[in-house]
Amino acid sequence: MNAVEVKNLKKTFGPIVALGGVDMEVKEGEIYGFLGPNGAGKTTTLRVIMGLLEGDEGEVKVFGEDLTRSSRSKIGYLPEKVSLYGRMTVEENIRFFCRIKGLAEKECIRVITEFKLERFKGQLVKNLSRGQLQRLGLAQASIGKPRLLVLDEPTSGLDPNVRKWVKEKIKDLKKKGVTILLSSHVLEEAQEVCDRVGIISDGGMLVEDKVDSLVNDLELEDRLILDAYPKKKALELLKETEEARRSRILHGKLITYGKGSDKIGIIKMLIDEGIDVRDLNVHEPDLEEVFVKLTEGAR
Amino acid sequence: MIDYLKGLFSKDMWSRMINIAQKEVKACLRNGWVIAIFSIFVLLSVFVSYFGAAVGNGDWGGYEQTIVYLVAYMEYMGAVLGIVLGFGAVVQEREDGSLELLMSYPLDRGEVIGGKFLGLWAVLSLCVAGGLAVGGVVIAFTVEHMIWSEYYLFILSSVLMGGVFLSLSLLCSTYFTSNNSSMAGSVFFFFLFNILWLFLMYFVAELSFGWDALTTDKPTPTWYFALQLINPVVVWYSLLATNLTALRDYMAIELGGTRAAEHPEFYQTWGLLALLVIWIAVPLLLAEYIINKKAL
Repeated sequence: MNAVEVKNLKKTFGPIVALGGVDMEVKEGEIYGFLGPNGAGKTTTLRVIMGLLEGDEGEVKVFGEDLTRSSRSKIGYLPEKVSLYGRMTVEENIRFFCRIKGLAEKECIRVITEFKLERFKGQLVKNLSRGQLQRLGLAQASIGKPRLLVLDEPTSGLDPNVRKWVKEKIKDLKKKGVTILLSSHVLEEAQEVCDRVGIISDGGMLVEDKVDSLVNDLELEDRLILDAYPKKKALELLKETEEARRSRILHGKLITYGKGSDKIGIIKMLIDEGIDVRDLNVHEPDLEEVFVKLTEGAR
Repeated sequence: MIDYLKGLFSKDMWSRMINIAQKEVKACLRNGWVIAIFSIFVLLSVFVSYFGAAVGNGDWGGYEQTIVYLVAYMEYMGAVLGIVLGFGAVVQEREDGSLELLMSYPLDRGEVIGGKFLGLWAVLSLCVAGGLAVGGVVIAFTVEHMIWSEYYLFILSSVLMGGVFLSLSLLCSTYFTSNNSSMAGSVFFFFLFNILWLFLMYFVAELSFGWDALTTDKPTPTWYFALQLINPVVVWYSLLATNLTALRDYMAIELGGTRAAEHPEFYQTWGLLALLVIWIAVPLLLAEYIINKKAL
């Protein structure tokens, strides 16, 4: 069964088309990355899934059901801006949300322990650091062991340590059988944690697949980063070739693209022309390139 | 409709609303502004009670004047308290983003409105009842003829009147999308019911039967008294004027026994109390309707 199924979801705000017919399928037990540039419609889609916003057209099902009170109790939500009650302590916030779900004190203790909130459970939320707040946010989303977690930009604005902790926690939750739908614009992280991704742009879903499949299907080229001299001459030479016409200089490095044997040919040609190639790095295509290629094409 | 009414008796719904109410009380009691307003309210109540009673040197006339001062003071302060507590209750949470998070939980939006009202009303009741109770003790020490049963009714009706303004400001807080607009809307109700209404009713009287009928022996039509009940502040005041001996006597003396001190027979205590309750319920139901229709 699909954890989330969205069909032809449309939403407009006055003259602005926020969603122009989004389709999405999140399979049970997977981590699904919902990616797209700012303003693409990620948050709007998530808010419709959560029942915070009503779509104009289309269908949203969570675990095969329309969104009801019962299906909402199976979902945990972490909005992009984590806003808990500042004048209440960490423990009071957790207890409050546990009671809203009709859960006993035991669950409150479990959440505090599992998310390592004991150290600052007596602190007022308004005095927490950004990292502590995100930890608390994720803890509140996990109250009642929901089957689905919807996380809107869960690592945005966090320092590297907290970001790492959040990623580990997400993987850990997946191991416990929780389905995770997360939106992100940090593609490297999405590639690291997600089983499948969907890329949205201008309110429309461009593609939905496994990261590896996307890279293979799009037949993306490897990226070559060269430390070559003289740079200008090397660039001119590269631009004359069919294979490396997309070459450019970025941050003092010469960047070019090529597949398989093309790469060797490119290097050989530069050396033959008297270019001093001092260093060479080859990067396999990643989600970032998939993203750039797809969203550029959509614009 | 039947489902809706059934829902009102659901134990789970009440438990969720009480949870939200407790959260509101906790947040209010940690809010410096609310504590400051509460303290000022209690101090002013004591001030009005002491000096009001002192005017008559502890005799019966002093008590009447004190009650009149307290009623005049409550007429404004009760409304102000309701507005201060309610105008930001929903809109502020919407601006902060915590409303979005709360609404992602399995609860109805109406329960959020209901829970907020219960919590804030509890705080308001604590302020009003606390302030007036302290004031009552001061009066009891100063005068001999304290009629406690009437004073309890005064406290109860003031709590209800404050609740009306709380309910109206919650409606504004749900309808408007910014704190400032919500405050402006709430202040509009304050001016409408406390100041503009008087002029409006004089205008209506002048156009229909002549406003001098209000202060002379000329009969005032019954419909005019009925129309006055549209204003919750008039309902509250009429409730006090028909029940508080001190206020009735004071008005009769001050107004020379004119018709202004009289009320028609349909101004019954329970009816007037019920009207105040309706005035609380209607804005809350409207707020529920709006929040259900509105995107967060």
